[in-house]
Amino acid sequence: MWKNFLKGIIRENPVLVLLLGTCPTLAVTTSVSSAFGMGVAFTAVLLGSNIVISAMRRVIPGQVRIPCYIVIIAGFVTAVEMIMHAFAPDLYEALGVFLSLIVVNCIILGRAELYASKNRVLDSAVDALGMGVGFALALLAMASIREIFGAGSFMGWKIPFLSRFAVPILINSPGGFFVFGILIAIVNCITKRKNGRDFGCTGCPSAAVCGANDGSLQKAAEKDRAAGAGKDCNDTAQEGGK
Amino acid sequence: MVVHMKREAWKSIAVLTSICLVVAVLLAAVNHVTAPIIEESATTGEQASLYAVLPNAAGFEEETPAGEVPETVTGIFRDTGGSGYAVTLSTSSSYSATPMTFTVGVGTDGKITGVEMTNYAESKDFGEYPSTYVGQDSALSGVDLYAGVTYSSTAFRSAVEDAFSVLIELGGVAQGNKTEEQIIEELKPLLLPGALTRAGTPKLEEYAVSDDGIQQALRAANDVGYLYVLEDGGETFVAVVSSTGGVVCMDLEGKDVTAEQEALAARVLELSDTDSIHEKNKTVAARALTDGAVLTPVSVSGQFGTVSSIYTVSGAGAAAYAMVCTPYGYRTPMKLVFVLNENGETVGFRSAGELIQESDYYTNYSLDESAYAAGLIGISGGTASEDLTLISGATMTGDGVWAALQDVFAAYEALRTQ
Repeated sequence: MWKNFLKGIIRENPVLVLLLGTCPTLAVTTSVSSAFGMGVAFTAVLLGSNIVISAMRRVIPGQVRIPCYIVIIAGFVTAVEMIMHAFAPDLYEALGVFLSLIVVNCIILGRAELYASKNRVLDSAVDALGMGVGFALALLAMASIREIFGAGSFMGWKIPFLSRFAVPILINSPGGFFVFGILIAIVNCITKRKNGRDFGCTGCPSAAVCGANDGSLQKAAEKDRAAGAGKDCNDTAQEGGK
Repeated sequence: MVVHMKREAWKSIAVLTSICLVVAVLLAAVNHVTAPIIEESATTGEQASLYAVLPNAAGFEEETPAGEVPETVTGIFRDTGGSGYAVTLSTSSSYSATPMTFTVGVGTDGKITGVEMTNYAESKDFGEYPSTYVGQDSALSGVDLYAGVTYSSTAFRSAVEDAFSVLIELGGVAQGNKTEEQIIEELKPLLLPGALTRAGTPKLEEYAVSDDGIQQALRAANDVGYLYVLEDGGETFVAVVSSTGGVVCMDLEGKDVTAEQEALAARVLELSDTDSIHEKNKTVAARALTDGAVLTPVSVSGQFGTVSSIYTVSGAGAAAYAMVCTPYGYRTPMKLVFVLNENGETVGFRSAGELIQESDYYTNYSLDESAYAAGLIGISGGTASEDLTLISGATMTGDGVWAALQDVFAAYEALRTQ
């Protein structure tokens, strides 16, 4: 269970390893407070939706599973939005449209489809917490670098020396991409040294979940090739995982 | 097989519908809890500035005056506890992308209780300037413009005056008493509108005169006239001599007393050296005319804003009149020459020096000066329009040309009927 939780923080970090949710990551990391708010909101939605989807995994029919997941996720996002609007209006204003856009965040739908729909409630909850914390930590790391060196402040408080020598480009989009790239390189360096990596499907950190390592992925791919159907990794993984 | 598929389809519909219904019910429950809090926080946010200027207010009720409300006044709120009014204002000095917004609190004694800035995006910092208004009544006798931030402070002061005018009209507060000095300062822009800079204040230079009764002798920096503050028979008057010859005398109640004070008018006319202005302008006017044109200065009764000199022209074809105008553009006064024919149509236009002087801040304009000048030919008072003078990216210059053009046609009408 501990391993399940930890995987989302470094080995399968949704932002820095799986490269999902890049858009809100770049958008809200201009300040640490926004990044923290986004991290908390995201974790709450992921935790809630993973628990509900896992609990209902035997009830939800395969044909309508995606619409069902979307409705559940949208419900949690709307609830979080309303709660944040009521109790943290400044944060709500700061996050703007990116709060609503959690509905279409690939990480949440990805965890629902790849993990929660196939595992027990407790495991799904731990997976959600791990992924949520991983997402939040990635955002906080990026926001800290951008705010400290780009605006010369931390959580809105001016840092005496740095505020005079801030590098404003770090707050802008190019600076965001630059910091994002540096963090990916660091995490890649750490995980590669630990595990060794290849860039195929079997080297994917989610391979164990989607079925690449038990041979079902290859079988499904062969079946697809025979049928002449062009499917991407995720489609094949879903079938292979069944 | 078919039965199984049908069952699956019905199951899918039932599950999806049930999820939607449950989610909707749960969201309704969350909304039931959060909606009142959101509404309360929105109201508090809107009213935060009102409470900041009237901290002891019991609550606020919006007032709607019967008459016309100045554009700068965006809301008038009365304290239901009776401690006074809070007025929300929005103005701009044209130096920022967003308007300057602030709230002024006025107590029942007619004095400002507080000023709260809600948006300030001007290029220069205001510092503690707004707080100097606290304790002032509608006369605003204890506050000056802020040196270095003249445009913003002028816009600010004028918005506060608007707030008072609305409150006085509503009957909420009494009018404050203005000092004599303040009244004179307020009369200056009214009497010499052509001397106003873009900040809305007249630029006048003091000069010495050999007349003991004159308290203050001032000359417009752009040569449109002279202004005098003088005492006669124990009463103070403000007199203005426009460089085109018109004289106006006013008492401190703002009443035109020129007809009753003929001696006074003659006295100030004698003190004003308009001839030197016409001599100086003659060289500028001659540049807009063909060689050999003879220019004779003429005096016209009345005031024509930015017109500095009027000449009758002979020996230059259709040209009958030449007028030199000196409106303020971006910073310094421009020198514009308009040449008119007998019918009052423009037959020539020229700017002495570079027309646009706005390059300090605004460089995003493109102007072909000769094409622009050609557009101002062949127009008269009836056909002139602001579009002809507009310069995209150099609005202040365009506004100055438009003001001058209107003054020129007004002066022509006066010449014609004289």
